[in-house]
Amino acid sequence: MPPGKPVARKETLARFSVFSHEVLKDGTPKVDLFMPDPSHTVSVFRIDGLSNALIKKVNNTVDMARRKKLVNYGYCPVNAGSVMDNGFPLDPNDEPKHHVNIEGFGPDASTYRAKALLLSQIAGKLTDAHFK
Amino acid sequence: MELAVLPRKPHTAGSRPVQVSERSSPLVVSFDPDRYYLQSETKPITSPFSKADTEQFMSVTLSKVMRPKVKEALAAVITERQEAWEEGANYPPVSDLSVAWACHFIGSLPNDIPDPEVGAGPSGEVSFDWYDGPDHILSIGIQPDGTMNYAYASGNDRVHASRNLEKGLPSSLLGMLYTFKIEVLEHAAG
Repeated sequence: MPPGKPVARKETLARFSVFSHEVLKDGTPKVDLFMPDPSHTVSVFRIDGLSNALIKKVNNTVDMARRKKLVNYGYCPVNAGSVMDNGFPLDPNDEPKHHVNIEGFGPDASTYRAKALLLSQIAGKLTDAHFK
Repeated sequence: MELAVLPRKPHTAGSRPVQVSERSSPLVVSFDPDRYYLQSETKPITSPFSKADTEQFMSVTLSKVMRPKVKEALAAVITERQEAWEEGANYPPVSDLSVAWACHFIGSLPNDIPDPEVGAGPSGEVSFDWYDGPDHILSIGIQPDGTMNYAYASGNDRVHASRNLEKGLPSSLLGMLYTFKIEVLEHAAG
């Protein structure tokens, strides 16, 4: 599958949460939500222009891929321009559809945490409006 | 009306040496706060007490060492990750050794440091975070080998580093911890 089109600065990227401990009680994203996986990337999805039904479908796909069941916690939005401005390259690989990898987490574990902290600061609060 | 921050107590526990080894029983930590090391139970022990009594004793002991709310939150995270793992999720359960080191870490904190938020990273490491608004955050991940990776942000100041807990808590980290509001007392004027 060819890579997706480059991500525009104004786009909203969704980081779906699959564990309850990834956000604070008020919905503020925690650092854990943006800790990179073993491939040193963080998976997000492009959601601009998608209907609530389509976002729900993406959410369900993420839940099944990562938790093997539907948890439907929702996602924390993050502006693509802010991500880029903080030095994170974006790979719009479109696998699965709408998928983008955030890269550039650095060489070691403490840098991963520092970068994840940075992303948690620029991300918005958890929303599950697409389920309502 | 004045607000006064409680006086800070001198802290020495963080510099004490610590040893840790693999535990044979999950979620049961033998913690001797007087000696500050974690003991493994490598051979069968004949106990005059029933298993239920022993578990209750351990629970009470851990409660004295750990902050009750942190212990409760940690148990919830462990349970959620364990259930996810058993259901086939991509994430490993929380590491027993990471939990043991996390217990040591929490037990080493001065009393006037507030309770952290508890979580777990993608590789099963326990994480502790302190939040005081979006511009003031400290996040610590504790690896199974006792290495803690921490990142701190306060306004434009950013720091990140690694340190093995065997070496105790670095004074710089304690300084970061003390920047979080702890407890205030209200004094009625007049």
